[in-house]
Amino acid sequence: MLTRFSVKNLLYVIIILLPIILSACVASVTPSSAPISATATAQLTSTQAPTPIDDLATQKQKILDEVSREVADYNQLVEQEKLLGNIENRHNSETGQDFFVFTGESNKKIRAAYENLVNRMNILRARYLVLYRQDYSPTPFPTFSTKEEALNFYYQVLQENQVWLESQLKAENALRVYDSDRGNYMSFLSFDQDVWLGLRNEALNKLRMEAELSPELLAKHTGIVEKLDGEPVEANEITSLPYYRNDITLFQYQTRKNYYVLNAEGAIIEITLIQGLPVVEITPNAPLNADQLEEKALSFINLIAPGTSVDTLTPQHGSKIDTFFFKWEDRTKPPLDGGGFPFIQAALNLNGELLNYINTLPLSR
Amino acid sequence: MKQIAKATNIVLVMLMLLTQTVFSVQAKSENKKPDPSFRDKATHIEKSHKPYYGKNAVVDTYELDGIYYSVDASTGEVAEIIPDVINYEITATYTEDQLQDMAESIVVQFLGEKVDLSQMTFSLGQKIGTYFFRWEDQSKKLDDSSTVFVQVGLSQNGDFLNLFNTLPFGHGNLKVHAKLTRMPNLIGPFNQIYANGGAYWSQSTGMNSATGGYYYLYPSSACTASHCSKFFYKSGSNTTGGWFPNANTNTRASVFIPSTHAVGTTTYVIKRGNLTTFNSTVNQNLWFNTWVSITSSTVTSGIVSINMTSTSSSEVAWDEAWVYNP
Repeated sequence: MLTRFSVKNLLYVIIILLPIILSACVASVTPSSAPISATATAQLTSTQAPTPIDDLATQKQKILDEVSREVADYNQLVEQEKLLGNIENRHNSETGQDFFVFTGESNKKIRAAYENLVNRMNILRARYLVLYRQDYSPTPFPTFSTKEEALNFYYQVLQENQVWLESQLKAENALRVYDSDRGNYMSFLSFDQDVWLGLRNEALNKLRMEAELSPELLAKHTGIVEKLDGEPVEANEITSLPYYRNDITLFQYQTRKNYYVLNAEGAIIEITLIQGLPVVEITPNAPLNADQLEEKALSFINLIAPGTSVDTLTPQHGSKIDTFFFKWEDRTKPPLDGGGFPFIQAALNLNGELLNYINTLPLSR
Repeated sequence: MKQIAKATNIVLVMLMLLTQTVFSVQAKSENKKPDPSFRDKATHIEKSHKPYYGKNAVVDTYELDGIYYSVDASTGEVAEIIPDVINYEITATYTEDQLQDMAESIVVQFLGEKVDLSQMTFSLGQKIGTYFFRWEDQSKKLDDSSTVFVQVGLSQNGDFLNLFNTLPFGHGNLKVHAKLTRMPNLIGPFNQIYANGGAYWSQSTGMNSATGGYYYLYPSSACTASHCSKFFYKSGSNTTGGWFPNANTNTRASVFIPSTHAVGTTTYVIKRGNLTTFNSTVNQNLWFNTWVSITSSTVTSGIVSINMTSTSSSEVAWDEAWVYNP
């Protein structure tokens, strides 16, 4: 059991060791040929005089101290509440781990405290990121002459990041917080580690975007989406949908209302509404019958994926509450990676408005 | 008189006990035994890919009397036998040796004499009242470098739980450098699926489920994308459940929305690897047996957990979650 005294001590040790840990992390994760180092933050020039480095460092340290304090207070509350005995001790026979979950009022209290802690972390992390960016000047990734070289580097660094993350979370001095859902103390990255890794991932994703998305392909994709959507298009990121194909790179775009996922050939794989926006009206103005809805679905398919013939496909239509799913499967093709045959599907409401669209036929093997 | 009354009471109690026993026996569902001649009678359900057995692994799945039989599409060999609902007792009816004999005879019944268990490495796994008899062929590996195996699960009462046979998907050892030369256009290195299960369960806490659901980790799992249909669903408040991925960074997440019971709007609370969170709201009524992304972009800090809370008066479903480097 952690005592108040030992938690404090642990946090002091973390604070003292943090710079050492970070530099070790950088050394372990950075490929010799492609440095993007957190230590590059020391490369500031004297022209940045109005805000002395010490001030910035102090501000950052204050946030880190606050994080340490909030986490320590929360963990202390957990240990105090544990002493009241409203807990169930459990054992995982597979992993050999013991864990405990709170019951009754203690459960409510700890969950509320945890939620409060997470809310505080949301605020503090945002503030920390702003400060961190002020003196963030990493050594850029190397440039590559071919797309293949760039992507090989991307996957290599991604792998290294994964290994580094796992090792940091296993480290004895990792930040640990009790999680009611897991019944145990879970490790988290410190803000310094997390922000560094987050920015490194951003740079990595940008590198991949530049390697995968040529200006010609971008123009082709945006032309297709703009024609359909009628709104300005923004390229989000390079992505994939492993449940369809785990070896195909896809491209995500965003308009005011929708996300679009396209493949390299320009076929639209998915159209989904942006979450948080009002969903298309479900209550029908002039409800269509099943035949009319199917006709509408086919017209959408003809518009979005011209040349698709559903005559040779197997219909697998379905419905929920006033939502209708017109789906046709190609059963002559091998299944997709997550199971099921390649398909094209248009989801409509009773008004015949498109709710979402999925076409995995271009991803067939 | 007292003696007569006492005797009457004893008789009544015995009658009650007898009645209870009879009712309990009638109410108890029987364990389903797999049928070696299922091929002649079963209904073909689907052909599906099994990426965790190998990139080219494809099975045909059949159903007969509530048991799913998956056979390797290339060789026709049985790969999985999984009852839709597993009813079993853990009464100590048989010894370990007797149960092993049963397991071996099941292997012979379904995989034939071709599988020589004596040439394989045996191990016994045990949980509460359940036994898993496993034979590994050390000379062959799956794509993920795990050793191929045959495994039969039985309860202490001799009830059948499941059978797995990954032998058809095995191959010789991969070259040592295969992992280092990751080709472009392959996702990874993090690519894991987490199954449905219900309230408050996770890998670390060992399937601590309020609903008897289960958890699995892609790729070494019995539960497959197409077979995890026993999702948890409920309506109303105070209904929560979550997925707890292993350590990951620069990942996205999608959830599977089944065709039935999933009609309410729900909020997925996604916790990042730095103790911060963001929400993703999904109207499950708009999705039908498809995966839906709950991250609009890559989460650079990684995803620690996905908790779903429903306050909808309509039913919402907890099914699988897929977390991956896109």
